[in-house]
Amino acid sequence: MTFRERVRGWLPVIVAGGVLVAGGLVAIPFGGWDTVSLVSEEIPEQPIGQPFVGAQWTISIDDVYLIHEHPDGFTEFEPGEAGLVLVATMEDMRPEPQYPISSSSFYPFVIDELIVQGEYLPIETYSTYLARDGSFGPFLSPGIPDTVQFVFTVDEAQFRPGDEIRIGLTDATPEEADIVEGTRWVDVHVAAEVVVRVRDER
Amino acid sequence: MRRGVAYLAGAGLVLLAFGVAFSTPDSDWVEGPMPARVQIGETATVGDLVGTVHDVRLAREVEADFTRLTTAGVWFVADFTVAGTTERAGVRVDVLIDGVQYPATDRSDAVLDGSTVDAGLPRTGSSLVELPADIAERPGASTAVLRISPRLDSRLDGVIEIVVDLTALDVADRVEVEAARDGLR
Repeated sequence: MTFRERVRGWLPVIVAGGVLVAGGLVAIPFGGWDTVSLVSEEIPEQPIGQPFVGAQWTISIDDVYLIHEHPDGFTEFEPGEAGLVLVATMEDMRPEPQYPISSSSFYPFVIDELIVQGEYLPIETYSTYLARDGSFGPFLSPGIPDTVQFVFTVDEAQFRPGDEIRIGLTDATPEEADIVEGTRWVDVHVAAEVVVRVRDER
Repeated sequence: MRRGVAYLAGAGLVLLAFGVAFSTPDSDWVEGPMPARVQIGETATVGDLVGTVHDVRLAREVEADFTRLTTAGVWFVADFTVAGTTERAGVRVDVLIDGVQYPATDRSDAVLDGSTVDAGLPRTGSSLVELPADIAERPGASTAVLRISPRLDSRLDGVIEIVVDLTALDVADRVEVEAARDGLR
């Protein structure tokens, strides 16, 4: 078999390969290629107090407890309500300041029936404080880890002292947004879970 | 012959697409703020603001009008005087280091950041910016930019900028700053 005949035998493969290469090159200036990373469906467990490094936050869940007097000193819980305090140490991994929890991108953590990804978290149902001095509603600057207290108003029946809750730590992939300026987050998912027993601070 | 020309033209168009894709200025470049860069002690007038930065310092702790402010990082303290030029303007302060934005804190009511200034009526005070504790070792620390803007969104706006070499500043254990007040320094 001559070389020419051998090439002719492989011609469909060569042509297909050539088309793929040409298509790939042409696609680069018109938006490039999205890549898909395969991930396991098993969610790893993250120990309490151990930082999880994500694209938006590095976060460790340090403590979870119930309170019956709001730390702001004037908000009163309704009968049958309590405050679920979640203490987390967070470091902003983005190049701009961020609020520790906000509906504008994705929540850094999720808790069943309390903080659900994609569902609006009414601002009157939670407060955030900087643990070091009690500053209300702080933003965190890039690269400066600090401890934040989240106070969520919950039904007493929903969370009881001694209950074990699973806190999902979320992560996503940042991409440059097309329509609006800034970042859009894709592939938002629970990347690790912290299993923590709720303490009673009473 | 004509087929050869078609191939060449196709390749040329693809190259042209590459050129357009990689030479189009991004929105940061097109819509970026218009800075007036001055030195410490010099007065800058740009857009809605006229201002003078008197001093910059680094400290581990700040006492701002009897309020003790701690940080896990280090405080960048800027003392300055600012006024509006033609109308009431806001005062927003950021430090920009190697593409990273560090805003002034809102944890104290004594600071100048977040206030407003009227045209021709100067206010003097300080702004406090939290920076990472190891900022002096980070890239860009020698060319940090202190930016004073009239609005939260400074795109296409006139802003005052000072380039600061953070590696040349000593870190004090504690500094005191007075509450922002009307008038010159």
